[in-house]
Amino acid sequence: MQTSMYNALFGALTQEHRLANTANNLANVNTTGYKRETMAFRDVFIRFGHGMLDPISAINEKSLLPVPDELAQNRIALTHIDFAQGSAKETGNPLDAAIEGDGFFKVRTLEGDFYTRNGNFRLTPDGELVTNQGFPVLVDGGPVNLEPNARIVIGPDGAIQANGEPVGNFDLVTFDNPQVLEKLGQNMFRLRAGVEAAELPADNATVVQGYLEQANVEVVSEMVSMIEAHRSFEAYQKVMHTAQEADQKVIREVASPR
Amino acid sequence: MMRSLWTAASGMQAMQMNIDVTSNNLANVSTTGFKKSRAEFEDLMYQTMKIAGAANAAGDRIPTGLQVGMGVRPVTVHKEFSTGSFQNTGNPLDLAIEGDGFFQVDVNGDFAYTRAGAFKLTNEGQVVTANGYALQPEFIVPQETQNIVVTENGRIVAMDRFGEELAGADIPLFTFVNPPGLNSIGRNMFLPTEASGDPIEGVPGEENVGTIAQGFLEGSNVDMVEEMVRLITGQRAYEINSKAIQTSDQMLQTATQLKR
Repeated sequence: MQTSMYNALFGALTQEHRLANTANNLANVNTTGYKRETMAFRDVFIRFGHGMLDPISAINEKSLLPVPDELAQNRIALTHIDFAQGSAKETGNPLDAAIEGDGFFKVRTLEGDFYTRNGNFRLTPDGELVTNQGFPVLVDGGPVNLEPNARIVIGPDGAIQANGEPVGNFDLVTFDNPQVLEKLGQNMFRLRAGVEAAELPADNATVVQGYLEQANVEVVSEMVSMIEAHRSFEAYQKVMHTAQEADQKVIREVASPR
Repeated sequence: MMRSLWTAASGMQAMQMNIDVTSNNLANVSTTGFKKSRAEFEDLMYQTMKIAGAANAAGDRIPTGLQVGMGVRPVTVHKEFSTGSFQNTGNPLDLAIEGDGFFQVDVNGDFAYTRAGAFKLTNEGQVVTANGYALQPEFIVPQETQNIVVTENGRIVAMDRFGEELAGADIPLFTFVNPPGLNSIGRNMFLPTEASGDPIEGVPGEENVGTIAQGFLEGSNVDMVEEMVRLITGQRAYEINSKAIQTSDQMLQTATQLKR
C-alpha cells in the first residue's frame, strides 16, 4: 500500500510543478522576446526490497514472495527552453529591433555579459543605447553612444547607421546548442555555470528594425497542458484515496478479532 | 501549488496595466499633440530546483537544470514620439512641428514642453496655449495687427493692413536626447527629467529639429487598429491567467479532499 501511496504522491507533485511552469508561460504571453519552457519527465525505478534477496526458501522450493517487479515513479527531470521563433509585432519605433533566426543581442550588466532576444532599446541622456532595464547593449564589443536626434537605420545584418554614418554592428551571437543557456529573468539568458560554450557569430540571423519579437507561447497547448495537469492531479488523488481505503479495510477487517 | 497561484496573479496584474495604458491611448485618440504609450513586460526571476551540470547518482552530468519561473512584471511604460497626422485648420495661430522639436511654454514659472501648437491670444495680445501658458519667448501681438505669419524656420511676424511689420520674433524649438524619458504632466505638457536629458535649443529647419507648419495641427499618433488588437490580446491574456488561478484553486481543493 505504501508504494502506491508514494507513487501517487510523486505523480501529484510532478503535476504541481507542471502547472507552475504552465502558469509562468501564460503569465508571459505578452512579454517581448520570451521563450516558452517545457518540462521533461523521467521515471525513477524503485526495486522491492525482496528483489535483492533470493526469494526461494528451502521448505518446498516455492517462492514465498511475489515476483520482484520494478515499479516506476515519475519525476520531473529537467526544463527545456524552446527557442523557436516568436511572431513579429510592428511598432514603428526606430529603436526597436527583432531578430529573425538564431541569435541574441549581448547586454552588459554589472554581473557580466548576458544575452537577450528583446530588442526594445532606448537612449540614455548621454545618448547611450540601452535596454529597458538601462543595461548597455553591445555594438562592436562595447557600449555605443548615438548622436541626439539622429535618424537611426538598422540594417538586416545588424549594422547601425546614424544620419547615414555607420556607427557599428550589433554583437549578434549564437551557440551550437542554445540549451547551454539558462534564464535569469528580465528577458535575459546567461551561460550556465560550469558550461563551456563558444559564442559563434549569428550568421543566419536577420535584424528587422521597427519590430519586436513576441513571446512564442502557444496559448492553446498551454491550456491543454493545464487541463492535463489538473486532471492527472485529480487521478493521483483518487489513487491515494483508494490506497488509503484499502489500508483502512486491512486494519478494520483483517485485524478484527473473530 | 501556491507558486502557480502567484505566478498567474502576476500575469493578471500585468495585463491589467496593459489595458490601463491602452485605455488612456484610446481616450486621447483625438487629443492634439498626444503621444501614445506602450507597456513593456519582462519575466521575473527563476527558482532553480536542480542545478544543471550537477552529477546524478550514476555520476552523469545533468544536461539541463530545472528552473521554474515566477511570473511577469511590467518593466516600463514607453512613450512613442512618432509624428501624428496633420490636420489643416487654416487658423494662423495653429502651428504643427514637422520633426522632433517641442515648443517651450511657461507653466507657473517653470519651462514645460509641448507639441500641441494650438495657440490663442489673450486680451493683451499675448500668444498662449489653450490653458493660458505663454509661449516662450513671449510674443505680444500689437493692437492694429491684421495678419500673423509664421515661417517654416520659426519667424513669427505681426503685420498691419498695409503689410508693414509691426512686431516679430523667432520661435526656437527644443529637442531631447531621449524623448521617452520626459515626464508627462498632462495637458499635453512634458517636463525634462534626468532620463530625457536637458532641452537642446535649436533653430527650426536645422538638423532634425523640424520645421513649423502654420495653419496645421498635429493629431495624436494613436493607431486605432493597433490599440484594438492590444485590447483583445490583453483581455484574453487576462482571462487565461484567471483560468490558471482557477486550476490551481481546484487542485488545492483536490488536495484538501485527500483527508475525508
